[in-house]
Amino acid sequence: MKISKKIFILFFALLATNCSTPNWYKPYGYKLFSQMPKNGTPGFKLGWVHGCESGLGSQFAGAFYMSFYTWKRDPDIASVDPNIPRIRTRYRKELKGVNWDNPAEVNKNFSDYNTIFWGAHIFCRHSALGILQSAAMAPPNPGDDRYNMGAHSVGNVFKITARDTRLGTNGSYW
Amino acid sequence: MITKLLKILSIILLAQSLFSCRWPGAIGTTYFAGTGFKIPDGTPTFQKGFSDGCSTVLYARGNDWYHTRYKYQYDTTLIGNTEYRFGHQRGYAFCFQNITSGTSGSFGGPDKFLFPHPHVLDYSPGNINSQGLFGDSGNSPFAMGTGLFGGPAGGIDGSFNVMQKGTGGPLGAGGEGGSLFTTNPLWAGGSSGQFFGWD
Repeated sequence: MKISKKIFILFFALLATNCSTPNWYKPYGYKLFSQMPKNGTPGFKLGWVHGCESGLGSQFAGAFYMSFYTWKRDPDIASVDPNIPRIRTRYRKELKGVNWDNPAEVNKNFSDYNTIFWGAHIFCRHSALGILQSAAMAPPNPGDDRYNMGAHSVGNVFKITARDTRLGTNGSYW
Repeated sequence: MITKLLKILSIILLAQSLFSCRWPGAIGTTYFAGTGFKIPDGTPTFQKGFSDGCSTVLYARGNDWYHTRYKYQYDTTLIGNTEYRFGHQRGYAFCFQNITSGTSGSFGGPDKFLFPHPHVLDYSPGNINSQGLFGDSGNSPFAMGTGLFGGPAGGIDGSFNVMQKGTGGPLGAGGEGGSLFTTNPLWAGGSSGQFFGWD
């Protein structure tokens, strides 16, 4: 078999295994979304994905991530009086494992969605910020320059004045 | 040649099977020294939550060394358990303070535990007259004329400034109050170059 064919097969095998992870093709998508716990309820998983996307779409992650992700929390699921038929139609694929005839199970899924949303939001926005900090490219705070083009470069990962990710010392307890 | 390669391969496979393809836990992880955390006393559920929350934030805000050791952790079977959720939040918050203390904020920096006012050192040469040895703004012992002499500016200018302007400023800041030396005593006296104003 030719080398090119082997690479082609390998590429598609990797592609196929990645596709089950939401947003795998977006920046930091595979690394973050593949950490979602696999044994949660469908509501948990939907809440986790929405929370993570919302976190990455916040100013914590900066303009770059904000152009790929955005606020996603579903107002109907967050409502105290959720519109179940509308939610069921909207998330036909994501919530297909829910037994809609069982009110307790439906409530549990909605509760899981709302409980995990902010936890995933915080985790993902901090992960993006951590990565940006390591290249001295943290998004601006209010009052800072909106975007300092001169300070940003691909080579920033090697800047000694940034948070050095090559050594264990910076950021550790010692 | 092939026999030799097979031998090496079999040794590797044997070693891997002995350790179940993992780093053997009993050996200890000196590689990760200093990246651990202590779990406080409490019920097992609380401790589990604390551990999971801490692991989560150590991945999020830690550097690549932490990425290799920690990851997002949340026990979905305990999502309805308030004690677990409480522990998770406390673990996240506690370890957040630790992991970010050395890296961000006004007192963050890799030399945090060496100097009282650490900073990210920039070893590029600065103007020694106004910036001190390492071009920093005066927060470290390396900044001449700031901490010791109370001068408003760092560097050599700061050292001499205090001789000219005194130290008794209204707010205790140097270089703002009156002094016996209303001009620089070393070269006071005018264009003829007298020392201390003497002829």
